[in-house]
Amino acid sequence: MIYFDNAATGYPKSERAFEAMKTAYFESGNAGRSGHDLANEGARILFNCRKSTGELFGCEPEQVVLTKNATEALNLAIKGAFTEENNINKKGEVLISSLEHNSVLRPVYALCQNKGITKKQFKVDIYNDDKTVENFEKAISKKTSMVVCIHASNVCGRILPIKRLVEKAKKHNIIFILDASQTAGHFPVTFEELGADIICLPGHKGLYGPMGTGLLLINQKSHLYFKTIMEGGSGTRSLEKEMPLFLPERLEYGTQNNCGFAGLAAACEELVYPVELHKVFEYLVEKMRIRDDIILYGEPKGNYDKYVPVLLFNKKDAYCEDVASMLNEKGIAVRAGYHCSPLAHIALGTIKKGGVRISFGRSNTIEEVDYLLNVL
Amino acid sequence: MERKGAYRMSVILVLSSVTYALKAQDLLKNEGIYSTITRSPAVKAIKGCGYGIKIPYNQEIWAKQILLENGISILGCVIE
Repeated sequence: MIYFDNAATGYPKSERAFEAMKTAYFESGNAGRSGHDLANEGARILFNCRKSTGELFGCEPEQVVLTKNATEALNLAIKGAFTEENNINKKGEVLISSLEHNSVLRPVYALCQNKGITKKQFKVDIYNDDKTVENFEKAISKKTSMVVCIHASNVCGRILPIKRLVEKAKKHNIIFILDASQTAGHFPVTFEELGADIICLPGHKGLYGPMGTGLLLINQKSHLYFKTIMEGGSGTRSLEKEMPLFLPERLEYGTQNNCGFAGLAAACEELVYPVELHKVFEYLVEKMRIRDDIILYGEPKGNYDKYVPVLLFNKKDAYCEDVASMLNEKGIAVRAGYHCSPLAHIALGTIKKGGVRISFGRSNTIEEVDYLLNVL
Repeated sequence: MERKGAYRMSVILVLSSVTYALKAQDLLKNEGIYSTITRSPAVKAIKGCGYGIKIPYNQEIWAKQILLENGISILGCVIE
């Protein structure tokens, strides 16, 4: 199988991560629940994951909340940080981009439904960052309390000018939550560089950890308070009815996924940013661009540094799902449809028919691209 | 004044959580202080359920200094 669906999950997974998971499965107990050696080993596994990932993204282990995916991290962040304790107007606005995934759109929508909070959107200009920043600035009002923004589109791969957006948001004391689902593992993403308050990401995409792992990373300088949206056993402060006030335990409830986080830590320790992949991506885009039977959407036009390797296309006079199915028969994995991102498909003009997405990972080659082009 | 027989005694520093206990253990190890994670009754008496790190009594002051310098709050201290 030639795998071009890395925006859904990174593949093939690391052998080293699997070995770490296997060891954790057989040799650890319930982390943070007891004092015996197996439980302590479980706690050490989770701590090592917090440490490895914290070093990667520039935060301390206790600022790393372990979640089951980016969606859970985003829910905890959006609903947890939107609270008066963070000097937020309870009738405030949440600002999102025109490229958001449902993992942002739906929790923001739910927050607005439940609390009478307003959702507002700013338009991302695919070909002009200045215009995007201008649109963002215009969308900010006195009521804007929180921004939730995708780092790179999971549909067309465009990277947003996050550092500039954060700078604008900070002038108005707005909480900035970054969804780094498509960028983590592709290039360094750090608090120091971007200045966001919270970064949410999956462990299984660009980091090549196991599915069922995600991270909510909190900027120590932001001093945020979190309301809890899920509660349960935490292994500490057992006589209290509320979750502990301190992180990360405040946002972690119930038994943790030792195996998953052992795998994620191992995957992070062997992570190398796939710099060479851009050549393969450039080759694909340039070959696809010159074909009369292919339509591209939001694709790079020379500015490859502003993209992660994701390309959306349709074949003229063919349904996207038929194209994906035909490619699967020929041993090529892609994803067709709406990619859980109706907003992005509206922005790209593909909301009526969807599209076929090619998303590269660290193991893809030019030979694989040639095979795809021949099959198409 | 050092206590009689202090070389055999241990001190448990009570910390907020197992995460902080493990972080503390790493920080102390870097400075040559070896500790063990504990959930002894002494820790429970202070905070319901909790974790602490057990260190040699004669390294208590140094250990406390290291932890405080690294932003780790010590909730209590029990001599064993």
